Amino acid sequence: MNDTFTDLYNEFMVFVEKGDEAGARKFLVDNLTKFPKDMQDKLTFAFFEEALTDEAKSIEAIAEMQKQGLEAMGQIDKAKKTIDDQAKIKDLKAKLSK
Amino acid sequence: MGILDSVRKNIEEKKKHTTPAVEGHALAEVLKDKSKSDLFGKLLEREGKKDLGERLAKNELEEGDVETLEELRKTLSEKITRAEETEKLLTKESVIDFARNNPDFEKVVNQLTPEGAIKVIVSQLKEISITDEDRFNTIASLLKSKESYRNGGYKETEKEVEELLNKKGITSKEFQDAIAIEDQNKKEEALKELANRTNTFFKRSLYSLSSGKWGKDTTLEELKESAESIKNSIANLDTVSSSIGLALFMSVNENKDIRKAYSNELTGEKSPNESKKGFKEAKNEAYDETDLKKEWEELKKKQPNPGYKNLDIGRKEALRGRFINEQVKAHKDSNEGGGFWARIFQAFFEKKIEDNREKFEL
Repeated sequence: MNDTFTDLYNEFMVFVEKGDEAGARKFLVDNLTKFPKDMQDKLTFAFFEEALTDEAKSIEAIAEMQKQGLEAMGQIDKAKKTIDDQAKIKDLKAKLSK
Repeated sequence: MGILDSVRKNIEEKKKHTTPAVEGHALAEVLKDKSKSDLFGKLLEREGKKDLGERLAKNELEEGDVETLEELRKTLSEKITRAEETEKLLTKESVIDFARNNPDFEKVVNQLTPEGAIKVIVSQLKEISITDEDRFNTIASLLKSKESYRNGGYKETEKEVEELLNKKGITSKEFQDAIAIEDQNKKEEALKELANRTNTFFKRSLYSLSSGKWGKDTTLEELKESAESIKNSIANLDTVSSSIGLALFMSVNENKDIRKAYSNELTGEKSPNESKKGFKEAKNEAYDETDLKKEWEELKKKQPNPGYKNLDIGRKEALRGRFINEQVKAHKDSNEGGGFWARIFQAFFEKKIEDNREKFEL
């Protein structure tokens, strides 16, 4: 059995028992290279997966928001043009009735 | 390697003049390479064919084994090829990019170097392509999404937004003031507040456009024709347009802090000090030796005739191996689809149960 790993695991579990998530994350990052290689690889991959997921989520959310925003801006321009046309018609009618 | 040569010879003789030589990764190539042979071992484990691996190692192949080995070789070759295609999307540049946007991953990369991190990620990708296909598929799809963004898939919309902002002259002094704040924490706080406000106005604006009097062209007819009403209508539309414009301004802003604040707002990400979903749930899945030992003893008691005590040492060890594999699988299944913490606790669980194998007495 790997004593270093056991010690690190026990230290990590202290944060877990306290419900200290930020402390647990910091502990993993700060002690990453002390873990046995197989654990180190899995921890690294978990951090990578999280970074990748966050970034992809962000890219997709922004792309969706931009699509909605562009559509809305087009809709506003159209509405403004309709109002403007109505104003012109109203103006013309007024002039003709004079 | 004599057995491998005979295995290959056998396969090639059977296929002579009917199909081309071995496609993909040859079994001999797989077994010569430590990382590939480890993957082959995991595939045998996944398929419940560890005994075949043992027979192969002992040069004691039985009838039908050659065909099974060939099928497994093909599967492995497909997985390796797919993982290698996905790996191409992982460059030093992309890893640095991920690190820039994620402080914890940045610290990890700083400790391992980008090249070292890529090496680890690549080896893990190959492993999960065999041990956890769903997870692999999700990661491959996310990497493709990121690549599509880098190659311009999303950039066209972004360009359109930028042109629109330039045309309309939309900018925000409030945001420029916020990024000028020197204190990093205060700056983040100001940007967070602005991002929240901007997004709230953006959503309200979209709602008013879709459900209010601007919803359909026909409702425009309801507009009073009085000059005052037209003036008000234009002013309202300008306000809505300005709110949407500001949100678009944030989404394409070249300033990393502004863009990040807005993207965090959109994805609902909390600050690093706030609890992320999953920690409390995942910690309930932590390794519990007492419970596991109890389950092991129960399993021993349940063994059918001639009973556990009468099994030879080889069978006892095989039973313990199966018990450990089943526990790992059950743990993995119960955390399926889980996030960061589920992965962490799974890794700890696997390591703990493997390290403590001897504590499950035979």
